[in-house]
Amino acid sequence: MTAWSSLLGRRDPVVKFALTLIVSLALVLVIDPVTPLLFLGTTFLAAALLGRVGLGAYARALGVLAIVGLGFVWSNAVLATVATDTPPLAVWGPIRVTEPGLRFGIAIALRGLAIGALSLTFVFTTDPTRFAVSLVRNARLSPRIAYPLVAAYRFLPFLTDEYAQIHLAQRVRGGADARGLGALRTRAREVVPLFATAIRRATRIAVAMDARGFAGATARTYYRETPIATADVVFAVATIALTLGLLFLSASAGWLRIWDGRFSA
Amino acid sequence: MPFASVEALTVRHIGRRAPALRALDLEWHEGERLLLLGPSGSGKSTLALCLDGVIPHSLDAHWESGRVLVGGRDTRTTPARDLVRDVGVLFQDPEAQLVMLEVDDEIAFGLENLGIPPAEMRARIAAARELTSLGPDTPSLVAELSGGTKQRVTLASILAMRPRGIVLDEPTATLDPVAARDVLAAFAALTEDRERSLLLIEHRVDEVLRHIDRVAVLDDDGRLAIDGDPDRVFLSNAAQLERLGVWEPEYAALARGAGTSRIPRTTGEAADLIATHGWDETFPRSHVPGNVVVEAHGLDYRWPRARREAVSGVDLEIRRGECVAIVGPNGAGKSTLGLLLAGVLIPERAGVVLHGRAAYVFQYPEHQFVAQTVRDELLFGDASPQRASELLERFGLTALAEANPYSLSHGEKRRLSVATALVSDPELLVLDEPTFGQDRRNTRVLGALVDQRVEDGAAVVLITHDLSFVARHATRVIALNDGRVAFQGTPRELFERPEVMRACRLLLPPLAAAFAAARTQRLVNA
Repeated sequence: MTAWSSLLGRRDPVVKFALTLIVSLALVLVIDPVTPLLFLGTTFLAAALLGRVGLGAYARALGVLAIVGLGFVWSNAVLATVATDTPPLAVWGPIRVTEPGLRFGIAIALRGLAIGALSLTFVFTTDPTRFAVSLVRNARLSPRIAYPLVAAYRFLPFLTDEYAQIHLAQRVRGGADARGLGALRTRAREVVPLFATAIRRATRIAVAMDARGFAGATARTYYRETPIATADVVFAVATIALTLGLLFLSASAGWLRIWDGRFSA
Repeated sequence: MPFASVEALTVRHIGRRAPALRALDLEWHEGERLLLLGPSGSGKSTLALCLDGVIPHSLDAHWESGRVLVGGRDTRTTPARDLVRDVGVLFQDPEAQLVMLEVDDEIAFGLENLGIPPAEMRARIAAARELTSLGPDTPSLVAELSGGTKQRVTLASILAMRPRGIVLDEPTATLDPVAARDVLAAFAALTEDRERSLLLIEHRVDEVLRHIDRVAVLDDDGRLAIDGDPDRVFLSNAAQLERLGVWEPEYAALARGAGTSRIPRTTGEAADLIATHGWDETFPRSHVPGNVVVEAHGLDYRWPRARREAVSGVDLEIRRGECVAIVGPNGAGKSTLGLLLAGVLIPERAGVVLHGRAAYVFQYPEHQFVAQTVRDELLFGDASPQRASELLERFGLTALAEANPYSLSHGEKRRLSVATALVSDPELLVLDEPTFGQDRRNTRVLGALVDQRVEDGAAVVLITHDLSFVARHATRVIALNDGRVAFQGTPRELFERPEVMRACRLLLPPLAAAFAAARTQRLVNA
């Protein structure tokens, strides 16, 4: 994965994770449409230039977020409680589209996309093994949680395959074409073999881990070195400075609006 | 002095009535290469877990009596972290023991737990990779490795910990024959320097016979039944082994036929015996095939979101009274073809014509279970209570009629899944890897069942890697490669086409390989 060896990829995963959280929290408080757009553009730029992530990688996940976002735009545009003297932008029968509602809806949608893009950039540029080891060494997460998580990460594709096979096998026994309540019952039935195999496999992995001394480990050492380097500190400072810079830019241009605690436009 | 000794050990798993191991006495000597055999459910794996201290330190079980000493220390009072330095265990399924995402991290995992300094880890990882032939060309991501390579990675991860003894618990049970050969070659390499004590649980006996010193056999109750020199164990106890359902080497039959007291260890030795006695290979006689049950013409199938066809341009017909084996490498489209023939998958364009009823039995019986009891499993279709009782009786499941299907043993689950497929008395029965993970007894039962179906005039399709089973039961073989039919003919014809065997990643079973070698010898001499 070239993204893992890129400038962003080489940063300590825990530092990157913390920064992703901080910037996302800052964005949560923003309720104008322009500021999230600035962050979205900056994220894409950084991902492409510093992370060597192809922007196509974002298409599928962000596409889903965009559809959810459109829902927000629509519901806010027509349902937002605004002062009654605000002139509507459009009226179709009982539906009144208001300008503040539309703006708020777009802001929320773009904010979702910006946070989504940020999180995906973290995922695309982070080697999961390094993340797990760094969580243990730099964030003091117990290895008893981190390593089973890594094993579980390996486990997920297997569950998908397994489910596909179970679905086919159950269809052979009949009943898969049922609709409504019958279909629900069929699905429920399919979960039993899935659980049975998942539990058995998880137990086996746990036993295999202990057979290699995981349970008895007292003074664990680590094969991967994950020190937080000067470059990570510089990266953190730069990211926070950039965040503040973008917010300042947006504020001085008069675009920035911060959430004031109300749940509408 | 024994490396490990098991003394009057009785261990019972939580929630089970019968002990897994019963008053077991066994000595495993320093530097010895011991082969442990037993029917499925005889407690072999339980013993492996007791030897490295997983029982009782990590896995709870009722330790009813006796003790296990490793290097003179009692496993119950020695801390787990010391025991894992003495004994490492390689389990069956690589997928259920790999923890990390990359090869070197995986090998390092055990070393990290032991607290080995990183610099030494690097040296040990390099040495372990060397021993298991994991060269620099091996992809670093575990997910990209084949099953056999994954198993060698787990072996490397145990070797890196430098235990004095290693237990290999059916390390090839989930692998195809080529991958199995790969893993057994890695095992053979370990046996050469005699630096470690090795305990191998493995049913591919012919392949390992020349690398072991002694054989111990457990019986159904988890007692030690036979123990001793390999030739003596297999040649003097054949009837008992048969009754227990324990695999014997295929070459044992040759030794018995020739009246020698030594089982051939290599294909060459076996071929010599065959040539000396002028023996010929036997295959199932072909029945006169009846009417066509299923036919395929220009059959294509592509799974949703797949890049290429799983099955393409397949033409074939299967008749009543035939047992047709579909063989080929993993991913060649064997199961897909079986599912298409049975009408489980419907091709986009017409391509399959089925004349009669078909049933498909999946590789993992549990995937098909739908009911709470064995009897209800059989009644789930449209079976009459009489038909259900009849099938219970025929498959030896009557005593278990009210049991939960999940609580059955390996062999019983397999029998139940076949029984449910026979509820509708189908003209075409497709079995996906029927012998996978089955012991000799269950394999024999399934074989008899297949023969009976064919005798009764139905057609049976076997999707399998098990060419020994094919040689015994199939009247015709279809070899697939990349979704296309690479060969159609009798098992004998397939075995005489080495280029097809190679292209389809097939390996001759030991006996067939010896006959092939004998034929070559004859040709050379003539």
